[in-house]
Amino acid sequence: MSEMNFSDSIFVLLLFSTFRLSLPLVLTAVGGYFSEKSGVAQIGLEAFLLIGAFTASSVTYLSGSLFYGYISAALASLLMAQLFCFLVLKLRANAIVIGTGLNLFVIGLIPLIGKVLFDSTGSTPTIPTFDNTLIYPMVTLVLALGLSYYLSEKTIWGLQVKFAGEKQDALSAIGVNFDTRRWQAVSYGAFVTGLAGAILSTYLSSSYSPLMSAGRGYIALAAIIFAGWDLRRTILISLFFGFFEALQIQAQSNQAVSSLIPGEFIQMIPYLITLLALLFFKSKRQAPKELK
Amino acid sequence: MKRENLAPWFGFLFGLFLACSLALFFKESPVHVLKIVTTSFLNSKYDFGLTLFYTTCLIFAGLSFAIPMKAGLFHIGSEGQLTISATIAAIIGVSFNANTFTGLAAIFIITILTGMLSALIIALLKFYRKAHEVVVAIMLNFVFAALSTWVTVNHFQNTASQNPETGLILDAYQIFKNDPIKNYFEQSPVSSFFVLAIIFCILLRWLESKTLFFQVIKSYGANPAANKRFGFSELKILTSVMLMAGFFSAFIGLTEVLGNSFQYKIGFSPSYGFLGIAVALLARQNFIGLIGSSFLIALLHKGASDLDLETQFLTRDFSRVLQALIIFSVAASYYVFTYRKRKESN
Amino acid sequence: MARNILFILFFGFFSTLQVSATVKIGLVLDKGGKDDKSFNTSAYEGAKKAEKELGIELKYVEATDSNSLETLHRNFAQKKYDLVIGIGFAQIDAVKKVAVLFPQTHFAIVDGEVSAANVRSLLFEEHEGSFLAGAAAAMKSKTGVVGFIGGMDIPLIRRFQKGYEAGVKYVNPKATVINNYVGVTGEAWNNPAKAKEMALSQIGQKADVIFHAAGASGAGIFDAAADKKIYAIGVDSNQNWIKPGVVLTSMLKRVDVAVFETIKSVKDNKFQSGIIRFGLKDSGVDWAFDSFNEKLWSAPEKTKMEDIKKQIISGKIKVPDYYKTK
Repeated sequence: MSEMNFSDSIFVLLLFSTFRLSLPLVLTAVGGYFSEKSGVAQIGLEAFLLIGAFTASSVTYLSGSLFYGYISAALASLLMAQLFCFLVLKLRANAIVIGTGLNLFVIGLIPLIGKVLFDSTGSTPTIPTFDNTLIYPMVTLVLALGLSYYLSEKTIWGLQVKFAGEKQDALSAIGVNFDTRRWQAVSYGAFVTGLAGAILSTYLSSSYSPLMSAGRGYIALAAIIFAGWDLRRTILISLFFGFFEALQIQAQSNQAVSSLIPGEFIQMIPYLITLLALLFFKSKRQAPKELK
Repeated sequence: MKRENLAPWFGFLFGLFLACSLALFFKESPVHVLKIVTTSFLNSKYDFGLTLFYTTCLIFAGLSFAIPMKAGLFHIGSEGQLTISATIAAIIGVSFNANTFTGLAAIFIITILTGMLSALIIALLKFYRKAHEVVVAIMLNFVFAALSTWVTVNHFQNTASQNPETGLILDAYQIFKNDPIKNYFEQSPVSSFFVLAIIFCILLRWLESKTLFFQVIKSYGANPAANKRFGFSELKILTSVMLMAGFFSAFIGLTEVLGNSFQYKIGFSPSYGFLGIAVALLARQNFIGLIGSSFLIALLHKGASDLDLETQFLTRDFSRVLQALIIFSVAASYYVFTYRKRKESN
Repeated sequence: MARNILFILFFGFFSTLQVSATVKIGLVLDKGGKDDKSFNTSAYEGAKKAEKELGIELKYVEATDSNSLETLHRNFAQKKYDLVIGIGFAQIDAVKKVAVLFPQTHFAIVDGEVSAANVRSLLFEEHEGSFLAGAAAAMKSKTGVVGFIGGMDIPLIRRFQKGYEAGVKYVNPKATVINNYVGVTGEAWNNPAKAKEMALSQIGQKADVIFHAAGASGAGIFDAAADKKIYAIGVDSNQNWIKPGVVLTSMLKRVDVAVFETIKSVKDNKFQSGIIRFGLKDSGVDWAFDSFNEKLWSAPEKTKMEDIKKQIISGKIKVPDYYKTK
């Protein structure tokens, strides 16, 4: 084993690993972006992610089709978003409260449904390996990112969503209901996050395991805020976090590195860097003014 | 005004009703589920004691969220703070060899300082760098969790067990084993820390009514910009509330390490930090109301553990669904209750 | 006269029927849940078999967090269950505490030692089985690099690892073993996504056979192995069926047998406390050879494995035991 081959393969491995691990995070952050930008604080991304992951895995197992898995994941997440929007936009409850509640709700609900469907509160049954497993995440990524970028930056709808977050009165002035825009934005965001969950349980893994989101919902939110509520920057920062997650696992697996730096410290790197960045760069970016 | 204050309790009941109805989907009788969940804490003195233990931790967690909330800060960093506090408490308890009084004093002081300093980071970054407290708190939660794990597993691992935990603290510091409250409740996890928690709540309530401090905090929370014109130091406000929040987070660590297991077990917290949010919100950040809401959430948490054995499909995960539905109902109850008011004013 | 005797027999028969109530067994599974297809599944299957064949009443719960373990055992004991079985080392403390408080209840613990008059400790000689797994890996590895992925870096799993490495070196002294542990907390037993990444990383370092001792996380390792077309070795339950052609063999830990036997002893009123050790000798641990992996093994290879097994049992090969060399 020459040294050259070793570092070559590490680099390539890292690249692929980053791509794999960033996928769910990037899509979750994009989903959360729409909600936050429209003025609705979104701390419930974990819930959307988990329900998407669970639904995708279960439906794929039961139906034998990845397609149905992905679609139902997005729909399940969308459904949760309706509950969220009803409570936050119609009954005017605090978005962060409801987001926290939604996380608890989903964390509790999934094992119960799992018990009924598969008689287990642990992982769902393994889905069969498909030959085209890579196609689904790739297509999803391209479509979701493309559509999100288009909607946010190139349509009137996207502009109105931004107004809902910055100056809702401007929308009222032209006869557009800002809450409707918010409802749509949150729903679209949840749809995308649901797809992220599907990728998590069917591509990064071949089943759903309890709490497999591992805090990605919170990291995505941090990415959005850190990126100053800008779509492109959000995607970049999510990639950055994904890179470090990949680095962390590679480093742990590599004898040379893991003997020097303990795994836990490597795991801390993305969070420490974020804190350091917050320390050194004064946040010029403001939250959307209507963000509650 | 009066009606508004009743709102959360009606919301609570509605949420409870909703959750038990959900039981129908799982082929269980809602009445049966309701009975198990609500009476579990009465099964024995031990069960009641365990419930009081949860209550203690939840009161502290609730305070940790409620106080910054009054200043308009959304503090979700309690989980990280309680983790690092418990770790520090255990480390000192295991390695610092001194007489009971000195040792315990050291544990208390250093743990509390740890908690307060960890929380202070959030306040400082917010004031000097305009960093969003939610982001900072999330990052810190992860960092503290990783740090605690590394320190425990690599330097203080309990050699007598394969579980990821520290060894037991020195005998001299395990005085709470003979704690009268603990003994009354059949050696359950509860301890005199419960009484301490109640005292803190009463003290805070008194402070709130007798001093200007909390008035200033609340006025800042309502309108930070206007506050600057009044001349109240934003820095002082932010740091005081966060120091207090960290103080109470540290007490969760102390309650667990000194009052319950006499060691730090990785993962001992069933998300007290996040449940504290629910506790505070239910009580509308009222210091006395916190006691009630903590007890309610504690008894539901306890009750859910019995569901595992008594039903076929409902496991203790049901407690989360229950908590969530109650949070939803309570949060929505204000709107529902003030509907008539709004209709009239329209 | 005959009628009287008949009546007495009849009455006696029915009264004993009523006196022996159904034996109630409580099973507390470890993290990873009953469907981890590995450790917990083995325990669950043993209990299920007892339910079917012995007619006992079984109730099982899956531990979600380590602090609820004590409560779960307590609940079972309070409800007057005849036997409460704790699966996994994480439950040692719980069993220790609760067994003392409920001396009338029988307890059993797998992978732990609790000395009490009402506790039966079931231990396995994992290192012996792992040695076989190592030998298998070295035999089949073309690169001379093999991998091991454990759940947590704890003495129990180190025991697997040490035996495995010894087995590898026995067949190929020049081989390299790459070791990784999925995590440091209980969720390590249920994180297939992370385990998959670790396996891929090991494969990137030229490992072409990976043995796992990571419970439900093993699924991720099988995924990686199937992806990159290398071999994987299963653990605890027979996992050959999960990915035929990929799973070279499985290191069997007959928890199902141990659980079944213990339940049976309670039913027959012959419960014995103390420590029971299961090893290669009594087929308490073994390597799995069945229709799902037989095509992967040539006759001479299989013979060599059986030979090594015999030598371990006879004592000719001494397998290093991490517990003894710490």
